[in-house]
Amino acid sequence: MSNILSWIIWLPVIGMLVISLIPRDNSKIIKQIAAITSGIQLLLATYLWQVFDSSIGEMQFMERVEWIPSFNITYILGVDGLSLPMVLLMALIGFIGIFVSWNIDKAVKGYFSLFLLLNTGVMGVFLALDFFLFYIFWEVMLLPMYFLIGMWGGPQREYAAIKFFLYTLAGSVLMLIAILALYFTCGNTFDMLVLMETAPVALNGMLWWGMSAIKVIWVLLFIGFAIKVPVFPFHTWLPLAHVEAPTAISVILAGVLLKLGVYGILRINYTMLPDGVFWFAGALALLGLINVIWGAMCALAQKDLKKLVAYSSVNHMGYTLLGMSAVIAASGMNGSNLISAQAGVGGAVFQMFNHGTISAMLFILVGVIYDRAHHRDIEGFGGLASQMPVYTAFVAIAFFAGLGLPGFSGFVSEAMIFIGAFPVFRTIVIISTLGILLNAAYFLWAFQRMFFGPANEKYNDLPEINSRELFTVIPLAVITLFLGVYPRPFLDLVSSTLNLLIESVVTIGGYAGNL
Amino acid sequence: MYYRSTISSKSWAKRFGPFYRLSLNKYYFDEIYNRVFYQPFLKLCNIVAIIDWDLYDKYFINGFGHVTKLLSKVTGQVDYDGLDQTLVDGVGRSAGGLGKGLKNIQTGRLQNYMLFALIGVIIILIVQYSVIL
Repeated sequence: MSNILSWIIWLPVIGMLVISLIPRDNSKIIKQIAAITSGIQLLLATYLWQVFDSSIGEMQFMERVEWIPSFNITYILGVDGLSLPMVLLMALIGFIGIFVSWNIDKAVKGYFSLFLLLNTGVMGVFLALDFFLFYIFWEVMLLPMYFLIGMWGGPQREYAAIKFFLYTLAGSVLMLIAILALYFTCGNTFDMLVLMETAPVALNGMLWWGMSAIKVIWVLLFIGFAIKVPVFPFHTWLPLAHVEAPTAISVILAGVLLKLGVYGILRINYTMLPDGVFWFAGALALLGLINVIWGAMCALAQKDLKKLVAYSSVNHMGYTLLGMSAVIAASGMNGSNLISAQAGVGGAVFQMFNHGTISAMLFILVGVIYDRAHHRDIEGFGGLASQMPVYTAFVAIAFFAGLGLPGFSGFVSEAMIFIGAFPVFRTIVIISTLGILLNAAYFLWAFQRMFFGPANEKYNDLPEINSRELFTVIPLAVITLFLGVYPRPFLDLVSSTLNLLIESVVTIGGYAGNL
Repeated sequence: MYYRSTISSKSWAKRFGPFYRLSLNKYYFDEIYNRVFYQPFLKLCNIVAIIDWDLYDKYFINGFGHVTKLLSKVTGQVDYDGLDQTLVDGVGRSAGGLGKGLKNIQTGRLQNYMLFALIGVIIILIVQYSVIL
């Protein structure tokens, strides 16, 4: 199948166009079309995974079409071991998200159209290899999100939507400046694969306003991506947006959108500014530590279950930063410890994927109880275990997966990150393991308050989790458990690409002394 | 010993009162943990959450929004009151005022026109002479 990447990206838009032709009263047909579109996309993504050769680290299934030749803007797509897991994650979460939003009854046509457009935007960012195209998809993703939060969200939806929009836009503007800076300094091209080769040489020793150009571009790009991750102190849009967004949108937001930030740093900062990696690695590890501890402490203090889960994202994404910083272990001055670097970066990418499945599960389950009790106050429940035993079992799985218990995928990725980062950032790793303790504390404490103790009479006949909801949670739980026991398939998928990435960072980043 | 109650637990408990209570309450380990570690840490977490949500986000991050709003209010005022109302409309107003003023000299009397012409000729002569000198 040729042009499979284009099909994966544009299929949701086709679904959206079909939906736009259907009269708005046929909400059931609209939902079915959205489900079928996402279903086909998931099948295509699975097929792509089957035909993908994981022994090759370079880009595969590349597509290249001239678009605006006068500015060297080209439509370039490609997939490698870093983007494929993210494409699979988006296809899965996008498909599940349709069923999570099955109960939406307000402006169904608009909701599912925007939902599919969001899917296109995210897929596009993961697969684009032209900076201009990358930026366009980045903005395409932003716009539907604004409306989805602002129109279908909770009581503070307008405030949350505009905050999310302005915050993210501020980040993308910085990114745009960096993109233009790279365009003009590295031979007027937006081709990311070309920039990966030319940028380290072209920027070497260049000074802007007395500052190293590499540092300036690195910081601009980093802030742009850090807002998305979100890295402390750019994180406060997240709890608000997560809490106010409808369940399925929180699921997409936490499950996939946060990964765009880490993906961007790995794909762009790491490959185009390898010198910057060495300059910034310490700060990256420290920011990771702050994210871990700060997110966990904020989560521990929350009374709203959804806000707790939102802060747990801040906590979990901190580990990915820590893992990414371990790449410098492979350099000569750090003892050429290639295994550490592989464990760290591999762990970071694995953690991204695991956080995708686990946080999606958590948000779906928060939505389940909110749909029934119409509040999310942790203290307002009690003894739910006897009232909703099946639901309790799934929350237990999700919480234990979230706190990184061995046997769940989160444990493997966090362990890899600690193993990878330990040789280079010993103190930071030791302190950040405290985060795991806090992590366990906030999940277990919330679990205890909600599910054990005296039952709240009010919720005696709360309906049990239904089959549609189970259908959305079970695949995620199975993946989490499977990868927790046998992570090999995932690690094999990413390792060739990540080895190439580590090698390029370490060999090209040899100018580090010049910064 | 216990069967014959040569040692009664009650009298022992009375004799070693403090120690008895200590062991009965597991040396107060739970209470000490609760008071020394758990409660203070929870309090710290609450403070962190307040700093994060009620201070940092509400004042610092939203502060950018408030400052922008304030600035845009100022620029809006400068734009409308200063630029548009005073400068742009001022040109129009002054043109109108000039016209109003000038209309008074169009009296229709030949003598007045002759007088203005004479004044004009005198001014031209003065200017020419001053240039030459």
